[in-house]
Amino acid sequence: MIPSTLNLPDAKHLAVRACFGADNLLLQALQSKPADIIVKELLVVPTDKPKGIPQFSSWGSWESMLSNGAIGQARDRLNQEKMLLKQWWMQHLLTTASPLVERMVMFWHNHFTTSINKVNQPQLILQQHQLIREHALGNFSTLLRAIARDPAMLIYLDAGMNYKEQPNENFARELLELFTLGTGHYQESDIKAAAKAFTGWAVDRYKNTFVLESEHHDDSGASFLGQTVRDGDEVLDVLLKHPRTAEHIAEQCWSAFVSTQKPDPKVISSWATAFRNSGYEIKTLLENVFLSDAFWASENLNILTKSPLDLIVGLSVSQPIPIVPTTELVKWSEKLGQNLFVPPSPKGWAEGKAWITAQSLLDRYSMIASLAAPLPSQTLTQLLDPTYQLK
Amino acid sequence: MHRREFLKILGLTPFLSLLASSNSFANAMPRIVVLVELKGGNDSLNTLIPYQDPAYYQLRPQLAIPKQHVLNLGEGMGMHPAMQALLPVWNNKEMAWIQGIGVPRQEQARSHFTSIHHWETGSLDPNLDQGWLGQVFPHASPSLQGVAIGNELGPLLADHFNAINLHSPEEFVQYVDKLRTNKLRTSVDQSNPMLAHIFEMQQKLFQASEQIDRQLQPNQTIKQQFPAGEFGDGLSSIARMIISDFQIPIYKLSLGNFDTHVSQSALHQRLLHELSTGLAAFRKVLYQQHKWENVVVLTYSEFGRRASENQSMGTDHGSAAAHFAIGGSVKGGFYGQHPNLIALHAGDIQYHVDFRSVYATLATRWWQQSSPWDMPDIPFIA
Repeated sequence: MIPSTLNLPDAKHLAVRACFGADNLLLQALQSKPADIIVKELLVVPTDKPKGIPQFSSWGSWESMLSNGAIGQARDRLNQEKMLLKQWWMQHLLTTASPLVERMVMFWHNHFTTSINKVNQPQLILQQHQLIREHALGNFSTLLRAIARDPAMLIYLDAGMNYKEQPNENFARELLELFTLGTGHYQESDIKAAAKAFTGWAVDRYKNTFVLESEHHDDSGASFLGQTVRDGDEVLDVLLKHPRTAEHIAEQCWSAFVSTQKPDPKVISSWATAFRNSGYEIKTLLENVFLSDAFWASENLNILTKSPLDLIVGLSVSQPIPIVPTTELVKWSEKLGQNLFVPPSPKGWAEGKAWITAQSLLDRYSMIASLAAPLPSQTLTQLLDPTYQLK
Repeated sequence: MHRREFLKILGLTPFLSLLASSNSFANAMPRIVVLVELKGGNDSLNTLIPYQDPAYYQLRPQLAIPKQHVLNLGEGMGMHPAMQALLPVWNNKEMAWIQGIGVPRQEQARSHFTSIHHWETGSLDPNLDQGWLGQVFPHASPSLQGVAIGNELGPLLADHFNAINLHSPEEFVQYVDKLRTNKLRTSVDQSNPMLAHIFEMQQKLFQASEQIDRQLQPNQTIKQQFPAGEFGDGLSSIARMIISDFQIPIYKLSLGNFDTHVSQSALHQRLLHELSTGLAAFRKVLYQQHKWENVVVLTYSEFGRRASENQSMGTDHGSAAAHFAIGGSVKGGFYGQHPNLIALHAGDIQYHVDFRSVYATLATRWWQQSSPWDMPDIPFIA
């Protein structure tokens, strides 16, 4: 049942699922108002942009280090810059005035996965991260088109090595399997056709930009999901017209915000229809999610596992724990299995039960016991209860 | 008949092995498999090299290992020079190379996660989420059946298979002990499946830590015999558990990153060196402790890599690959067929051995269990 007025447990439920945990101010703000008013208010909070954007080495400077034989120096600097980027985001997560935006930055980072360990150019990961923040609550079709031209994404999925003579299917495969349709809604021949259409989509690492290398592009056309496509944009057109794309994103929202049990197809279909009818406005989709009966149903309360980031940020903002260096939080997040900007595979991070193994539970408890050590023992007992791992 | 031969025959009868697994003699040893996952897809063509085949040098103009550097194993095949430390194991006939292992139709979907999912579940069904060891050992056991070093259980993850993953056994026990000082809940509401799962893991933590604490013998000198790094540390942890007579049939650890799309040579060299020196130390330690006869080490990887090199001094995702098993009871030599580099299939070496045949061999020939897979076994274990 959607609550007519949010009480404290309702406010907590909304805050932990939509905002990485809740401090008292946020909880107060969410309480004593009708759910539809609150959700609309949350969705229009302007994006708090992180300050002090870090400066990273240009591709040219990496190359000159390597050509001078300074491999050790280059490796050390790369590691420092990677850590700097992680710390910078972690710091923003702890202090942001728009936590729902950051929750969606994580959602899209986990959807359009890109690993800094493959891209190895922090500036490009930063650019992608900023792009995702810009569109986190914006328009999905705009975001998808921008991601298809995003240098970090193209490098991560080898699209920069997608030549006419030797099409590389990596990007095409993940575009269909993970970003839009989901498995079972296309053939291997569609992947080949899409890969062909995306040939020549490449990156200029020196200018940090997308380039279309026409000499590597094959424009002879291929049959993709029953239609002829000649370039990547036409592939995206077909995908954005396909009803599965909105359904797939709706399913991702279901498992991120509602439950890891299989969704009711009727719910997915209604969210997807609203999403498509709005022209892929992400706010419309989220409004449907947060104001659905399923989101508030008693059987769906406290059944999602907190991600390491949920746990770290949630603990930090909701409990008066001593301040620790953000590097320490970044390292905990890695130890708990969520190394920022390094998703384990293109499929993203685990969810549900897979987050909790014997060792990861031990690591979670150890982190809580270490960060919250000075808190009263009664609080510590609550934090070390299995229920605290749930949201 | 010599007494030793007689005992060897006896040792292989199912009756005696049944006795061995159920009795309580302190030195009754289970038959152990150590799985080594080469994460990212190892380039097996530059690991076990057909160095007398001119086609190899045509496919790999930049990346081929020069003939004179290859460690000759005979039959025109040889190992990457970084694997020097394993050459004595081969010469001692304790190393089996199984060639052309593949997953059916893998060349149609060369993705990391669908591929490793096949290897972990021993199945082609993407929806099956039971690790293959849970299928070989389908009955729940109160004591630990498997330990994975690192963050993932992989093939040990199954509903009724009692396995845990940990970074190091000492650290594990130490942290659980710290946790015991807090008042932790002794039951939860079982109607919430996620809460029940977390509670189950919590109980498992305590049980496993008690078992490890009770059995693990302090042995400081072992660790020093392994190369530095995560892989060496993992092997030394496993060695110490084996030496301490843990009744655990399966261990798993991983080494990566083998996803060598770009500038492969130096990275691949380093990884194979780390793999070989680590395993050579592992063999030496277990041999000295009279455990080597009870251990089979097996490598696996989500896929092999494309036969021809790419334009970035690397190799792309392929399918079939060669893997090796080493151990005191392994029958050394070549199994499967040498790769045919002329008759490639979608740019990949064709597979001749279904990956489940390797698992079936361990199930039937090593553990004397029935095989869940209808696949022929491979005689690399007598």
